[in-house]
Amino acid sequence: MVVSEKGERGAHTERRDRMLGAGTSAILVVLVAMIVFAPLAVARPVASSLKAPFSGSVVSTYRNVVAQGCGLAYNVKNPSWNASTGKGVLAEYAAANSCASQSGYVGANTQGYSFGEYDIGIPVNVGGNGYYHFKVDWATHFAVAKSYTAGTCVVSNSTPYYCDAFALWYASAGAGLYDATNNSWLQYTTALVCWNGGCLGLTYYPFPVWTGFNETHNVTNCNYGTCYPQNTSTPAMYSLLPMHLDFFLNTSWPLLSSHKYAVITYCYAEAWVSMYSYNTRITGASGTVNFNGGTLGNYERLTSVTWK
Amino acid sequence: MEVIEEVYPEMEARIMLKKGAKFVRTGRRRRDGGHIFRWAGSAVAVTMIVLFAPLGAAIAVPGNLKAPYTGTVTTSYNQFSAGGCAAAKMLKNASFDPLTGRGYFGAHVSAKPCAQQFAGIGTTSDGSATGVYTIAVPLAVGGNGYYHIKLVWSTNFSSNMTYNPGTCTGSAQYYGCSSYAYWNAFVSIGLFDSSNGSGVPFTGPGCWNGGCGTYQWDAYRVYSNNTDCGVSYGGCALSGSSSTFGILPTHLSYYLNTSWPLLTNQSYSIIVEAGVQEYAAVGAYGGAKVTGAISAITFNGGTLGNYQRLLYMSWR
Repeated sequence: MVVSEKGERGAHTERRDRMLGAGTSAILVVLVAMIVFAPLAVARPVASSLKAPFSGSVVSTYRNVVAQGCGLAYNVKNPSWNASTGKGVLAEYAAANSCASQSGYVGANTQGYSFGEYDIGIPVNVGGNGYYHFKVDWATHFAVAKSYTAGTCVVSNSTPYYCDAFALWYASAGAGLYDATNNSWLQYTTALVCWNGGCLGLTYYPFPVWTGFNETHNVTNCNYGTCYPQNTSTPAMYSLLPMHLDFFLNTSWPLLSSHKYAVITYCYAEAWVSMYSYNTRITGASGTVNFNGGTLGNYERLTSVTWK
Repeated sequence: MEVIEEVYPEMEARIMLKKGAKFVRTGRRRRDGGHIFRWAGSAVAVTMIVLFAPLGAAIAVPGNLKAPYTGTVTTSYNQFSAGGCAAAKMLKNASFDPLTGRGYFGAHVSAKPCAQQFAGIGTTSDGSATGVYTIAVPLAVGGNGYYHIKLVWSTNFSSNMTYNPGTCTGSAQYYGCSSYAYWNAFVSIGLFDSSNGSGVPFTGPGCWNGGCGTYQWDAYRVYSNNTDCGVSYGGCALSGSSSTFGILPTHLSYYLNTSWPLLTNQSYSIIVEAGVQEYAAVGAYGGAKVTGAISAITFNGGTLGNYQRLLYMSWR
């Protein structure tokens, strides 16, 4: 019967049966592999993306302002992010002059300092279990303006005496993945932030961060008649303002469709001008710093979150 | 002699001055008693003057100041921060007006749980504020000697604190909540020698509303609560504290008795630092949520009739 049927079904069927015979072993191997390497065996990431409006997103903001002595600071634009448009804004201003009036240490310390930050949590539901490659894209429009006059550290009969004056701006942005089901950060085989043609790996736990800053700093440290001036400026490469920020995150373990995940991303900026003296005074020092990511056409926009 | 009689009895400088007074009186009596004693008294006096020159040169010259406090240097520090669903603002930036002798500071901070929380975002709210002014009032002494300096302030303060730690709920293996409310106000005083860039030590109390304490009026209120839940706790561990110190005075009097003589060729300043610090926070971790919590503080020394006024400063 079997032979007959076999003969009736012909050579093609016979080859199929051979394949079935050989395939039985293969299926067993696959089954064993699926059991032993279950997470890998079920690795079927499902590609998807998010754009504005970023429904279900949560945003939290932080800001701080310090004005001391002859300093001034304020949030030009309070930090905020709009989930409907994906647009964020922040803008900081700080200024300070060395105080004309000083008595002892009163009036010797003057500064303006402000920062603004917004943090965003965007819900992500992966459609299948597996290792994922996330990309978080920002378009940014920043503008900065800085003026600074070091002034003079007045020679003092006291020893030691010390002057420290600087003006700076600092900004950063980052993006990472968070498992909201077990409240932990994810880790990555590869984590990069790229902007203006260059990329940077994971330098800050738990996710890649772009940082930019520009500082001019003058220190005069005098001890028993000998002074040690230290004047520093930031190399221009650190203060390049990005037009785009692209974050690439390759998860180092499979994501599960049963878990709730979040893309956490943030933007931060600060402006700071300070003059400080000890046992002497600084004359003629002044500075202003404007970091604008929120007015006059400046903003940050989360353009997309994609994963596959 | 008048100076000696008015010295505050508990002060070390007063004891030193009294010793000097006894010597002078004794010498006078001896001089009345005969030549030997008179010469002996003079010799001892000369020796004492040589040995204790600073004391021997102690001829404090009284003086006083009222507004306008000419030549006074003022500076201030104003800071506020707000994170999450917190608010912070200065009711009045800390400042002192030398023309009127009036100073001001005041701030408000509050924190509450955010309605929207996800993946650690929105789980912590905290607000802080600090307003402090510092003044340096020039003190030009008319003679070398130990000095007794008095500062009298009239003050009006008000404070309000609302605090409720709320309820902490969660389901993770480890979770918890915390809340905090705190203010601290102060008016402190010091004496600075600008000629050599150092402080001048002194003894003496600060007195306010019937009591005396250290040289610094200081008051604070603090409340805190923590809930930490987890397997290792076998449930939730609760901890918290509250503490209250000081009153809100209507007047402040500071008495400084210098521990060494002040000299006419030096530049001195009375340094006053006055201000308030406030902090309010509500937070959760491990996916927990805190509901119904509120932490709010208002300390007002600058609006609605609140102020500090340096009525006068005197020394002798």
